[in-house]
Amino acid sequence: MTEPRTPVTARSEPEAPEAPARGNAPPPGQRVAVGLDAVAKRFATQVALHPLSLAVAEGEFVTLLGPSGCGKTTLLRIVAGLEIPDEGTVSIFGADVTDRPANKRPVNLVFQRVTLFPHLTVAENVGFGPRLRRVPKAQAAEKVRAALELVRLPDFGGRRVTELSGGQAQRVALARAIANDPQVLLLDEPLSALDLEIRRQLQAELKEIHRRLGLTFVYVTHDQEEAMSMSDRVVVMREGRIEQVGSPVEIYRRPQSAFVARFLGMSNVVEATVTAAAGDWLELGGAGLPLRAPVPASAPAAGQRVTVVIRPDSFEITPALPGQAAGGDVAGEVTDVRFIGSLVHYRVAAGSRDWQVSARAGSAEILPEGAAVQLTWRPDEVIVMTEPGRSGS
Amino acid sequence: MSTAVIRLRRRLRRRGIGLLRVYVALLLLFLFLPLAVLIVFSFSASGQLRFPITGLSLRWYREVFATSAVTSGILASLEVAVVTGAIVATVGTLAAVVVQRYPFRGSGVVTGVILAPAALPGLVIGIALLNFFGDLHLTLSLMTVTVGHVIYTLPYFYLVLSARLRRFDPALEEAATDMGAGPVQRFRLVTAPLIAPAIVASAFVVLALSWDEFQITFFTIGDQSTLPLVIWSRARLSIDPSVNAIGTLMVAGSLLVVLFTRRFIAESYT
Repeated sequence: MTEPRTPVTARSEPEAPEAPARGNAPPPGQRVAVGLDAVAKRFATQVALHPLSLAVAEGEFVTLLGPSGCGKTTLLRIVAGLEIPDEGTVSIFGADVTDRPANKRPVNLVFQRVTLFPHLTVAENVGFGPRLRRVPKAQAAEKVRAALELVRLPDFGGRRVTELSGGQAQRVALARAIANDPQVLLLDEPLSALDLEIRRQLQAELKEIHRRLGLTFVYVTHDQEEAMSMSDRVVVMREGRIEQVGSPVEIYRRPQSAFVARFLGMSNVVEATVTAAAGDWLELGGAGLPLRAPVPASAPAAGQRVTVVIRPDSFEITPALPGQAAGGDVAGEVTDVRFIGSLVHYRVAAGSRDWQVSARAGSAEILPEGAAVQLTWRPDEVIVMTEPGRSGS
Repeated sequence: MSTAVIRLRRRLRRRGIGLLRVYVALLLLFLFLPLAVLIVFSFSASGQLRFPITGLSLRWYREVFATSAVTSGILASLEVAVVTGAIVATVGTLAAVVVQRYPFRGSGVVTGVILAPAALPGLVIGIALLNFFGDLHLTLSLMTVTVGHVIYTLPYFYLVLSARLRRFDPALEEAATDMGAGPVQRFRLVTAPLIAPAIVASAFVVLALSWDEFQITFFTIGDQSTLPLVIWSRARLSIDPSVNAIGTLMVAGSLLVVLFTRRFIAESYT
């Protein structure tokens, strides 16, 4: 999932989501491309961003992920200089740019909407930055050619931008940003208006471009799959706060809040009570299943209310065979089946509630609705959180 | 719903479209018949305004261009229209850009003041201006007429340009800024080229309005008459067929302007 050059933080200790400033620094030894220090922003009476800090390493692909209204776009626009933070400082490669206007910052933004200049050709759009900086003609033409080549539209220079398809327009917008030689490339949901197929294709191309240029990318999206598949690090945001920062694998394996778990599509988020704490293991009651889980860093005591997350893929589902009720297995009944190709999503009634279970389709038998099944799961994949039971979206 | 009902509806709709065609044809006839009569009579050989005309000739056009009052009226109207257009385009563009793009407290009041003359009868504006110029002891001239025309045409210019600016995506300006353009470069390289077609189109509307304006001109004119006033003074004395020729010339001028305007609007970017 992650690239070899990926600067994944080797942070293993989960931490309280209420302390967003911690753990947001890139790994040591790497230059900080974008530094945000206690940045806050409000619009009229609405708080867009609570004070938050984040450091993006040189060459990193960092994605700000969250539902609409979580402040991710505002944060990106603050880096671009299109919004001025009320508090805090913004730095780019060590230089404080908080008071520098957008046109004097060494960053470029690819917008969600098409913002190509309609009165200029594709080549004139891509050459807009070099033209402003009075780059000599021959050199500027070469930059335009190279940028259009990079986005695989080498012969489109003479076209009118009004003739482009949505995907082509965003490629040109990307070329326009790259031709301006930014030190950091900012992307604000550039693919969200495109068809699924084109979006997938451009995701792969964007990642490839990132790899080839070695440029720092800060990407904004509300699509968790997009964030997971492209990023070195994901910053999950909610209501103007950073909820969790980590590599896609870390965030997926160790969500630190019910919100993150739910936002990443893990639907088995339940309330439970610690009935006993024995060594490295907790016994949990009230979750509907007899659960055991590794003790998290917050080490809840017996009697404490906790939130428990079990990923759909942590379960194993097998047809119930008579006389084979092995220890630890729980009997259940399939109440819904959704076949989506490589995976099958089951809803299984077991214990006192429904559980989302996903299984690899492969050549295994697809169990029908109403089938009696056995559920097993790996106790070490049961995640326990001690946050107050906030209900995520 | 039964197929019979659907078929009946279709037949009614077809009949409805037929009636609509007849109605539109009658409406257009009613609107343009007087103009057609005017144009036909302007080419009549006789001095009698009687139908059918007895022969075709350009004598009334020759007479018109031989009359110095008419030619100087045409020149005066052109002068007023062009100066009005230039002033309104400058003031109106600045006002519309500021109000649409950088609204401030009280910008609604500015819009109201600019638009108010469109709601006032020309007669009232004319009389008010006459009093005002009198109080200032200004000699009435083409200059005072121009002031009146600026007040009268500004609302139309402002409305057309504001509509265009509302469709202007501010993200385009943000993109220009993001690419490194300062405020001046941004206006010169992005905003101005994008709104220029709308400015030109609105300015042509102003030219057309000023070209045949009568009421305000009537009260603010000095000793040099514009074309509409020349026509009025001639028509008042006697029904002279040459008035038809002048009228046809005015229609032709307005049509040209409208055609130009349409071209520019078609070329503007959405």
